[in-house]
Amino acid sequence: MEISGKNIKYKDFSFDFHISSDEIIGIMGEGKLQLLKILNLDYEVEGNLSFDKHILKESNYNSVKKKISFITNDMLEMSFMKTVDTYMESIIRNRYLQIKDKDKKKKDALRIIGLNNNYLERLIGTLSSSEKKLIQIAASLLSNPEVILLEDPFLNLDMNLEKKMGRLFQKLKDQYHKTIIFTSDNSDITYKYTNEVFLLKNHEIIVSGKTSDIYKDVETLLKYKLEVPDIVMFSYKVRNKKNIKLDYHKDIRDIIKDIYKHV
Amino acid sequence: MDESIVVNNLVYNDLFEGLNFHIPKESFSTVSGPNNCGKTTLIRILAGEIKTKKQILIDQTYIENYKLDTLAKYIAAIFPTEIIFNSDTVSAEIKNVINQKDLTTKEKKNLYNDIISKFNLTRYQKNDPNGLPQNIKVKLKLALLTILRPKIILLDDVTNSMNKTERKEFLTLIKDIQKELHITLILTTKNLEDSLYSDYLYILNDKKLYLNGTPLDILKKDNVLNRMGLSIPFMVDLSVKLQDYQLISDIELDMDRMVDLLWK
Repeated sequence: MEISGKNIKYKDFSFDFHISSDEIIGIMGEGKLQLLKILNLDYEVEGNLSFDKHILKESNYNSVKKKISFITNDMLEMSFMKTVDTYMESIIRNRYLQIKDKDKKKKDALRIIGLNNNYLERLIGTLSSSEKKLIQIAASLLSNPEVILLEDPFLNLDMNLEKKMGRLFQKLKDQYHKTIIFTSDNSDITYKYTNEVFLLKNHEIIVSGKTSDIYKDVETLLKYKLEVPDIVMFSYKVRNKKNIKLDYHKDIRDIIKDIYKHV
Repeated sequence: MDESIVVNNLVYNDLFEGLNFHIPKESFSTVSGPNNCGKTTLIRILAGEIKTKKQILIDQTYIENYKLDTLAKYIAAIFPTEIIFNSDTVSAEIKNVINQKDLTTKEKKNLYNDIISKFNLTRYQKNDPNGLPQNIKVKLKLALLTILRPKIILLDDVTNSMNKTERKEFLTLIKDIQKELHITLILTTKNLEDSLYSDYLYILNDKKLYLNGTPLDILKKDNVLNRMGLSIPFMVDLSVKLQDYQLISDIELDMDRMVDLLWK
């Protein structure tokens, strides 16, 4: 789903933006969670929010809202549930989801995120925090959302789990045409796992656009005191200090090969 | 060297099967490991929140032999999501703790000003401490501890929600405090970059102590750490891999110096 905002104002916030459909988008900086909540239609804002070129109004609010899932870092809702199955049932009930074959739907959701059917019977109390996060994502798929908003999904993940989450987002985008929008404090994460980024400062969008373009423009990032991934910073310094055209890489093995070529 | 903490054949649920290690007095140690390796549980055990028997020695005395209030003065832990303050404002919170000390009015005032400036809390003095962002809460809590001066401070995953700049600032600050007040400091983190500020690094994995030593010695073992799911700090990783190509001979943590080393 394509989302755009024109003259959006909410408290300290004031901005315009455009989000293309089927992308993975990262939001960083002060005010990131508010922006995520604005996209979840949690606040009444001034200006025009459009979804697939239709301006949000009272008449289409419910149909738009249904297409959006929001995954917070608050696990409270889940912690009161006994099993994954009862958690998913509660989501179906609370969101008034009309599902014909609930059992199949639940199993499909688990399969998409790479967990087997046995998870339905698992006790919530025995799940690790990363498993809970995956179950939250699976449950969010029950409503067939077009947009999935996530609050800092990479927080607390070690490297292996981080890569797994990155692959899952890619799969949701490529195979299921979901738009994934998440917040993060870590530029290494947004650099590696997004196609587009919004970098905020003092509740304003300072820089936004294609991830690969934005992280090549180190001068701008430094000018606004925005975080630069280490691997990008290294190439920048080599280019700047030694006038050597080292490329901007995402994988350390690639930068090593490139260095070897140039020394 | 004197030991501040000795963990002796610790067995706990499914998490630890005979965990052994010791932490030297007045050192700064980082404890790390993959998700669910038991970092937080270990801190709860060391703080006395989880009972053990003849497995943990704090200053040569078994932890269960301390009276609760003595232990609380001796060892303090910060769990970032569980911080609660009693006062309405940051300044009142700090003053209430200072008032527990036997000091003259002037000394108290000086101490207050020192704390505020050292921990960069000037702009928060009138704020409700419980409404502060988590990172500031951690800083305030740590500030209060430096007044009370426990011998051991345990910090559980406090850098997790900090960005790079905040992280650097915070780690420099705690390193200074640790040296200045001669505290034994233990920090748990999944970010191995944090360990570069500490004297020792302990890696938990597979229910036991997997690796321990000085941070650089451990961080050089890139394959072992990667297999465990831990990422190596960029400059260490780059150094180790450039060493494989025989382009440099030592670990270089400074990016500018590295660039100059490679292209003289």
